[in-house]
Amino acid sequence: MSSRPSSIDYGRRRRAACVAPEAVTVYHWGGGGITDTFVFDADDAGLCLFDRYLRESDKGPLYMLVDVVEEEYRHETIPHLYGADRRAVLERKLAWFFRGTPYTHVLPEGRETEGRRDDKVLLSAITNPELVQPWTRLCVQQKVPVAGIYSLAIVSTALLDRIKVKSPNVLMVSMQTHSGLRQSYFRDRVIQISRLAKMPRLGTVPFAPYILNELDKFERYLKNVQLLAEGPLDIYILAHGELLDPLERQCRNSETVRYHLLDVADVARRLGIQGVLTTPFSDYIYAHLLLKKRPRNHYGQAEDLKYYRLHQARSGMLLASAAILLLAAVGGGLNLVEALSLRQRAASAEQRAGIYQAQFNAAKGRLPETPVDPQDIKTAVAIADTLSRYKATPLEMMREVSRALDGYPELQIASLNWLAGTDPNAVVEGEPRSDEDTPPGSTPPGDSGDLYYQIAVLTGEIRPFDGDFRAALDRINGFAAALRARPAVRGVTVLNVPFDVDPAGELQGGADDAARPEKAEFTVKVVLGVGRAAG
Amino acid sequence: MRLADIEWGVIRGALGALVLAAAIGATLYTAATRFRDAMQVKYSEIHQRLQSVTGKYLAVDQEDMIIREQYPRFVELVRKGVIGNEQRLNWIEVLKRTAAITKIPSLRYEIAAREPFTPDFGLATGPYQVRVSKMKLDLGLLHENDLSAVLAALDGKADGIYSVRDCTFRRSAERIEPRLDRENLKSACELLWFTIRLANGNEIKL
Repeated sequence: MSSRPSSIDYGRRRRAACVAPEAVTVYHWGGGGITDTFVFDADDAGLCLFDRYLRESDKGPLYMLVDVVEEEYRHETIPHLYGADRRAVLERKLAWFFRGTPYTHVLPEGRETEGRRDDKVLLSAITNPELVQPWTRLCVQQKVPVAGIYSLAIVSTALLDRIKVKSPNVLMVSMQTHSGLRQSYFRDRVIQISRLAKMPRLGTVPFAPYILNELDKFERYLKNVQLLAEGPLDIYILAHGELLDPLERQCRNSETVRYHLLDVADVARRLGIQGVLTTPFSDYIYAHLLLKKRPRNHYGQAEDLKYYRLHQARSGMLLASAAILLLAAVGGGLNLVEALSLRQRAASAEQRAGIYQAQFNAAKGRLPETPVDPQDIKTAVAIADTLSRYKATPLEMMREVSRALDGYPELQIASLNWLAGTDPNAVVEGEPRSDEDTPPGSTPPGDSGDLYYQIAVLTGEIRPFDGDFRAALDRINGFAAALRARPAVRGVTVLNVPFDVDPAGELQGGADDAARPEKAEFTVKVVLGVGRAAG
Repeated sequence: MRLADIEWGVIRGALGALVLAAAIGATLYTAATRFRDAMQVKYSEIHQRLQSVTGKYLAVDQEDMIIREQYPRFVELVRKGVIGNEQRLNWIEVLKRTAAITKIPSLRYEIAAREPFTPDFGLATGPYQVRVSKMKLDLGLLHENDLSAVLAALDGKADGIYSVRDCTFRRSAERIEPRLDRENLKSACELLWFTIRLANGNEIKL
């Protein structure tokens, strides 16, 4: 039986090819569900038609779902290894158990709980590659991207969730149009073993007793190989219509076996498959599951998947191209919008600048001509004012000293050294530089906030001097006090007196000293504050 | 997949599309970015010009006020030699005339070359440079009022601004005698004469 690909929708879609010993059924996927179905017999004519189909149909990815008797399973344990070591161990195991086939698969099943906690794996293989290779060869010849070669039994694991299976021991039973009765045993939702039994053509024999007979055989086999876990076994049978009634009558639940009969049409509805399925076969459901979930490849070899890799690269590049163009368009567009906005603002600013320039020119024309800018006129005047404010002459100091001397006519000034500056502690010519020369009780000036300072060092003598040092000291200190009392005076320091009363100094003499000193010299430093600094 | 296994025919179109998209995308983005940058620069320049001219326009009233209030004083400062060239001859004439009128027993002067002035107080000079000429005066005085007379004459008649930096006074005789030609006091003072000039060397012409 073959259907000619005469009305193929050449749109770009995914598709699944269910490979059975007798035929290959191709399902097209589109809009979230299967749209078209094509069947190719497993003979030369079917292969020719498949070749033509591949040639004429669009080169969308093809997912191959294999459902054949010649699929074997082995549970093994291997040391817990990683990387190349693990790969080497697995390759050795696969080569040992499944010689002569490239279609092998390893399904991890966790780790052992005791001992060295080895990894548990399910090794599976399609032991007769000739059932698959003619189809894959045509795909490669026609450069069709084969996305993967999948085991129907392993794919059916996904159905457990959809039909809400809770129990740990499950036997899933389904019929496929061209392969037969698939019985897969799961323990804790992990496939343990699967068996495909041939079925007579629909309607030629009563199916219910046939199915139950096959189940009985498989159950006995599971017990014999000690795969069946303790506890009741839940058997889920997918069927439809007239087949369900006899099954319901003949399936007898017991302590060890519980039957669950599922209508294929109900399961299809739960999976979201559109339309109503009217056959007891489940090919459609598995193809839908595969195309919807698109799991990782099981059996496909690098050569089989070569064009799929290229297809992925091609899709990736096209996607990247679109993304680049989109990003460039968005980024460039944003820049362009910003640039246009800036251009508009620049034009507006230029117009306003022109208006203000004209107004400024007119206003400026009304001002008189000056040799420099008005602001510079202001600066020059301010400089002159500042220099005038800081202008100093010794006349203020001379006046202050004269007024202080009014009450002290015997004090004769011999010299006066004077300077002006902003440092009140500046040293004047003739002034002792060392601190030890400063008598105690003097008042060194601090920073009193004056604009600048005038500093003078006066040298003088008491004339006439009668030799009374105490009286001389009193007069000199009195003069210093008179100076300090002047409002502008910021500091007065008596630097030198006729008789050194400082305990730090040395003193010599005798009680019978007849000679009377003729002079009593003194030195006084005066600091005058001038003006008050602004602020 | 090795490079040798790649069938370039399968991906040639996509690869070409990728290269083309990258080229178009880069060109589009670069062109738009450059256009935006150019507009940004142009806008910044115009905006700066607008701010400048707006500021100048708003300052016209203030400039008018400055001219009305400060320009006469500026002119006076220029004429008195505070702004522009110093008036050394005028200073010397004033000193000599004062010495003659006041009958100062002796007066010697010495003026050093003009040099930039570095003040020890805050002075915002703007486009100007302040220069200073140091004048040393050695005076033989009858009494201290002679110095007052000299400084008063400089204040009133000499063109320019000066400040006395330092002075020393010494009594030259034991007894002060009130004879007109008698040098009872000796004084040495240093005066700083200030002038204000444009820092760029341009002359200010009224």
